Amino acid sequence: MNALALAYGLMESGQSGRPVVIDDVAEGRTSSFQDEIDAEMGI
Amino acid sequence: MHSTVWRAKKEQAGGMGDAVSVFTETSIIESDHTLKPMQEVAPGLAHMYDHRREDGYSTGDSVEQTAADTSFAVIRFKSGAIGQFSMTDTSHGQRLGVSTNSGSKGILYRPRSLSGESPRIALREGTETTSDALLDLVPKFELDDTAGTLWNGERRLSGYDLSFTEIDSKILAYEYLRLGPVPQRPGPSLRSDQKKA
Repeated sequence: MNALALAYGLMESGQSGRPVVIDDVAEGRTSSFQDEIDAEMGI
Repeated sequence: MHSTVWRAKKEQAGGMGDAVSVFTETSIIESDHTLKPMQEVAPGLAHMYDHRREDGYSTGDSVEQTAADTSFAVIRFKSGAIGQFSMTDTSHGQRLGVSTNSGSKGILYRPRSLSGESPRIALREGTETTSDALLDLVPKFELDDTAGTLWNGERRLSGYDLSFTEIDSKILAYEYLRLGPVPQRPGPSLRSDQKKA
C-alpha cells in the first residue's frame, strides 16, 4: 500500500501543484487525481 | 505509440516504498498520438507482444494522451533520505536510464531495466565493486525458490547474460507466479453453432 501511495502521491502532487503527505494519499485525504479516475470508473 | 494504449490512459495506468512526502511537477507534453504497428515502432518488443490488441483501438487510430507523460519529483523518505525521480516518454533520441542510490560511503548504480547486467558500487575512496564480487558484500543474499527455479537453479548470482526475450519471459513468469492469476475480462459470447455439444 505504501508503495502504491507513493506512486499516486507523485500524481496527486502534480495535480494539486503542492507537496503531498504520503499517508494522506494512502488514507484518501488527498485524492483530487484519484477522484477523476473513480468518477470515470463509476466507483 | 504501439499497442499498449492503456499506458497513455490515466484511469488505466498505474507503484515505490517508505516515503513521507513528495512534490511533483507533471505534464502532458505530447497529447496526440497515432497507433502504429509495433513492428514499426518497437521491433524489439514485437517478437513478444505483437499479438496484443486493445478493445476499441485499431492501427492508424488517433489516441489522445490523458495520463501524464512527464514527471519530475522530489521525495522525502522516513529515513531522512531525499529521492529525485525524473521520467518522461517525450525525450526522443536519448535513453538516459540512470538510476542511482547515493549514501555516506559511496553510490550504487542500478543496471538498466531488463538488461541482466550487474549493479555497481563506487566508494568515495575510488574503489569500485561489480559482478560476482558484490556477492561477498551480501553473504546472506539468495534468490527465493520461485526466482531460483526460473533462473535455472541459480541461488546466488549478480547478473546474467540472456536475450531480451528470455529475460522478459522469466520476469513475466515470476510476476504471474508471485502475484497469482490475473482476472480476465469476459470474452465475446460464442455463437450457438460454435458452442460445444
